[in-house]
Amino acid sequence: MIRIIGLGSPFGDDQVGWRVIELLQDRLDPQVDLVALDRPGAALINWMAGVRRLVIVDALVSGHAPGHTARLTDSDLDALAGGTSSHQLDLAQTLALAGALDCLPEQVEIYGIEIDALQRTGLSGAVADSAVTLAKTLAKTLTDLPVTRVETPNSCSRS
Amino acid sequence: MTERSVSIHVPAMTRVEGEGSLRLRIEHGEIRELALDIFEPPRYFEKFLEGRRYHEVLDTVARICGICPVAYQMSAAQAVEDAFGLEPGPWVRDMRRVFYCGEWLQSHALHVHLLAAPDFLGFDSVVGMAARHPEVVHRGLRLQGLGNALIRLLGGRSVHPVGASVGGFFRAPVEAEVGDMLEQLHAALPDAHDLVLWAAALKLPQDEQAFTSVALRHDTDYPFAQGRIVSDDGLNIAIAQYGDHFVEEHRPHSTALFSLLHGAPYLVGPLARLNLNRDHLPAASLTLLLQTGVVFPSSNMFHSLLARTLEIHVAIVEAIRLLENYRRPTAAQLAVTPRAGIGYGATEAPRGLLWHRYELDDQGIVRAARIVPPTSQNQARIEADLRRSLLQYGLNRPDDKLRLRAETVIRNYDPCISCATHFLKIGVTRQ
Repeated sequence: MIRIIGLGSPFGDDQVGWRVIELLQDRLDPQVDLVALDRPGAALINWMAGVRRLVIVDALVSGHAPGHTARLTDSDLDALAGGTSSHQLDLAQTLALAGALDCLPEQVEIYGIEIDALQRTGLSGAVADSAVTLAKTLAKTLTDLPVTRVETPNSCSRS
Repeated sequence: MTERSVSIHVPAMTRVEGEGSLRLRIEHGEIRELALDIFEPPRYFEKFLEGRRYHEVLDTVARICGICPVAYQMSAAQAVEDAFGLEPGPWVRDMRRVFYCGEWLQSHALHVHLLAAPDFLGFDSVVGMAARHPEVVHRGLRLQGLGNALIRLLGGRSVHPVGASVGGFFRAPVEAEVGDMLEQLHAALPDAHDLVLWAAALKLPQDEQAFTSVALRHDTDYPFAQGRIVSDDGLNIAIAQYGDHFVEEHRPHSTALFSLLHGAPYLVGPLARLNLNRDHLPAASLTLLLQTGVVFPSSNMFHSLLARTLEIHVAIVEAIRLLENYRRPTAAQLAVTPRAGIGYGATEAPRGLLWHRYELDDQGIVRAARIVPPTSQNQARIEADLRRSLLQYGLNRPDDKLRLRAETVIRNYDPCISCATHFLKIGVTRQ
């Protein structure tokens, strides 16, 4: 199973992950599962059960111009650890925990869109544009792929 | 060892919700300075609420905390309804209690398994602990997930829920959703049962100390969203009288306000609740508590962990009781007619008493708001605890041991520093 998760919060540009999910609705094979989560912390692991390929879209504060989009590597994540997240485990810690619990999907891709942390209401222009671009890219990548359902029963199931 | 000078600065406490730091200076075997600092950007929510209409209040206060939005919404709903003279009725009261059970479940499960357990099992973090004790982490994630599902049932979504309103809920769940939820709750009871016994068997520090417990107390039930404010030294007041007994003050090193009861620190949260409401536990939870052999009221602060696990059991038992005979009402919320007045709300957030006061005009517009979160009420108590716990532990221990003990003491209160942060700027020079 393929699942795309947009992470965010209701504050300004931090909603960008949710926006990408919204833009992808009805544009993908229905077997691709779309989820928007509000700061789930470690509970993100509960969304990994039975997932073969996991795509995560999150807001990023790394010093680039707002709207800058990057596919993050493990070392990028380590460098960002403990930076912007004040609640719960951050994404790097959560993925490390999922790894320790043997819950990580076979493939994990993480996309970050640089946000303007001072933006308070709605999405700022450059960030909204990047959400559209990333949604298009993801839609293209994922529709080109044959979707094979692999149900991996594991103990990371959602209660 | 009395000549040793130590200075420990933990710049950003790990595994505490929000951000804070602790400064500890020991000179010649004595604590010269001990300060729990908070440096997260201040919150202006009380001011931010002024001028907003009553129906915007719940959505606004839910943003104060990503971990306990239900608590903020429930105290606010109660306060606004109090100002309007609105009595929400038994269905709404019961469902608010269920909603609250979800929040206790997810917040306590997160704290116990992911944040506190590493302290007592000897790991730096939950990632390290997961490799050796995966079943503990899995249980935590299952119970946290169940709490989130319970919040979603009534709130629409689990974090920053949008389902609650002044007068009730925007939507009542259908019977099938409740039936599904009941199945999940019943299935989780063995986890909750094992969890309590697991916590009771942990080697917790023996740290008896004198403190005043403060919590809500209801006529018959374990307190969530109703009751009078009581303490174990005789306080018994209506929630509107809070301001006559409790005073908040600024301290130079912190943006949080320090609350005092009759001039002294006090404790709110799971241990205080259990100390004051043991006789109101559901029968099954009381039986389980007796099985542990641990006696409450307890003056060992580390029994907070056990109290938290027992409250996970209470939350599941209570949610089952309240949902078992569920009937979908024709209307999930009462009609609301604004009127000018002052209203008070007090509920038991996972971390303790959360008190709100609103002044509204005849259009239902907020003219003044005051919010006293649990962490600011515990702030003075945490500092007092740190001082005596470290002295008792022994100031001549190595720095890293002292640091870990200090962190463990603070984490034991499950402080949610982002909630407690108020408006005073930090960086004031210390005398």
